[in-house]
Amino acid sequence: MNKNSQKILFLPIMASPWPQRPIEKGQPFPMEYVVWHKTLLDFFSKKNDCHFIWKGILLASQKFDLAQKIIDDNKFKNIEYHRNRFTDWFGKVDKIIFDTPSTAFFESIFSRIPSLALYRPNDQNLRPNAYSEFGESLKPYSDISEGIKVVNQFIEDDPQKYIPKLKTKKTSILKIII
Amino acid sequence: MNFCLIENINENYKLPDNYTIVALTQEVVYYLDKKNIDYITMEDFYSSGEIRGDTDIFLKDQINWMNLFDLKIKEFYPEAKKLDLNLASIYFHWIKYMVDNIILTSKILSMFVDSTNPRKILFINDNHGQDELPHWQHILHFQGVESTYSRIIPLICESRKIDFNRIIINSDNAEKSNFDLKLKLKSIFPQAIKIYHKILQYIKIVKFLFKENRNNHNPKNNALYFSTHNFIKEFSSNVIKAFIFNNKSFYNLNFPLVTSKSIKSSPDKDLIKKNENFDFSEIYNWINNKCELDVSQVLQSRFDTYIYSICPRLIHLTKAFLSYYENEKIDFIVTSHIFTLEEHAALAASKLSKNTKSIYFHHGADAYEFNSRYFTLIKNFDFYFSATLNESIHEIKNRNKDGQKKPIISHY
Repeated sequence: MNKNSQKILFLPIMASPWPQRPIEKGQPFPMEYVVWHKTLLDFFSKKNDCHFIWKGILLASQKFDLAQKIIDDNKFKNIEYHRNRFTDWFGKVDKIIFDTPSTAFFESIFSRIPSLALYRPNDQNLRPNAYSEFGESLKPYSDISEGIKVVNQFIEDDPQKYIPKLKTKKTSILKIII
Repeated sequence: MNFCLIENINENYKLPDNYTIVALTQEVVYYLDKKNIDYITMEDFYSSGEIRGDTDIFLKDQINWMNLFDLKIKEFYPEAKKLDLNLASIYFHWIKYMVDNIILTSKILSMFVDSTNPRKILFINDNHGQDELPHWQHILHFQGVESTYSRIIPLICESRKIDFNRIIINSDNAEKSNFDLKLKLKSIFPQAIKIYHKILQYIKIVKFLFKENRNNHNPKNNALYFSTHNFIKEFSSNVIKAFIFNNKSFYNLNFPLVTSKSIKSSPDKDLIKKNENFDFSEIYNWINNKCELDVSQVLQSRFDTYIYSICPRLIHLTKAFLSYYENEKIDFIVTSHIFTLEEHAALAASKLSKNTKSIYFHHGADAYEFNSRYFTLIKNFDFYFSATLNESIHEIKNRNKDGQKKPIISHY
């Protein structure tokens, strides 16, 4: 790995095999991400000036991760597969890309790491106040080529543009409940 | 055309001729890619946004159905009626995941069949009939067992007069799978691992009780915790004495000793009923209509478990928690998860109790609209704290839309 190259972590959606999600436009089905992940791996592998960490995430009953197999088989020079704790990477990577705006995205933002979360407007409804909350860090894509462009832009861009400041307000829980 | 739907595969199995191969899992996608075999996927025919449709209309309809389910359970269990326990609503989250999964699977398969008009369907997997849940899964779920595709495809074929056949193979998943040391150790030394976890848990409980009650000489309130997570730090201040419920036992610090008292989880015999003549058909009919298919047989074992096993235990446990709240003068119950029967019963008891309020700290955060969360979770509590300000603003809007002033919603 080149000393000056960016280290970028990618956190995919959890890959449970069947449509085990509620009727809510929150998380799409993981099988809908297979082609996207294959294309993303191909894109990452050609991005020689960057080093990528693919942070796999499996359910307890799950034994197989397609991305891990593809990475192992192809022996990509600039993509590593890991399954350790997500937060262990804080301070070790320059930027983080998320398949969806889940809890990990918030952890990354609160740790001031340049972050990009993607969403698919046809399949995911965000809460109305989320669309503006995250600025450049939350981007839609409607097809794979658009998604790749968004990811590429994030990689090339100034990282400071992708550290949103979330609205906060101090609360005293004790005052609220007693 | 003929279609061969594959969930699991092995090297020895020769794929049939004259069938279009449909890969249902990542394992099969990988196998077919390696062999350069052409295939399609279900995802070529649907998008999750399309099949989920208008989720707000669906939710409204589902809430009405849940209210009907509450009434049916009260009719079946007079004790639930007497206590005014809405047992289905308390369990809404788990029932919803179970039912929605079946509806979505039916819709995906219908869309596939409508688009491809198959003459024959062959289904290949390795766990047909397997329904023994791994211990970490919820009892109503379909994870780690035979898939919902495998359960519903024969019904779709039967209703549409499509020739259906099934092949059960021994997959070589074990060789291909990613080795997991933790799971392997769990299977080799189950007892030792269990004891180890219990000891760790106990140490955590003792440390928590000592820490939270250390400077607490004159507590004004008592709180029963179901979680020892860090985010309750500010809450558990010097005016609140901490108790803990964990693994079917109540823990109390009587300085310098931590004492525990276990809760009996099986109900009295007179509460357990199994009257198969009681008419729950309206409950099934709503789901069948949504699926446009009779899926009763797929859901029956789980609904039976819920109605005949979970409900009586919930009634029994609710009464036990209610009595504990009164005896110990518990002002608050505090949790960040609702998973076990005991946690559901504790929540139900707090709704019945005059003096005990329930507090939920949401673990995690997200940017989704997820309007059902208010009805499946938030509404059941007296206080709900989200991780971020904007999430709480969103949930307050959902509460106001429902015409309610409670729960009190904020962030931590």
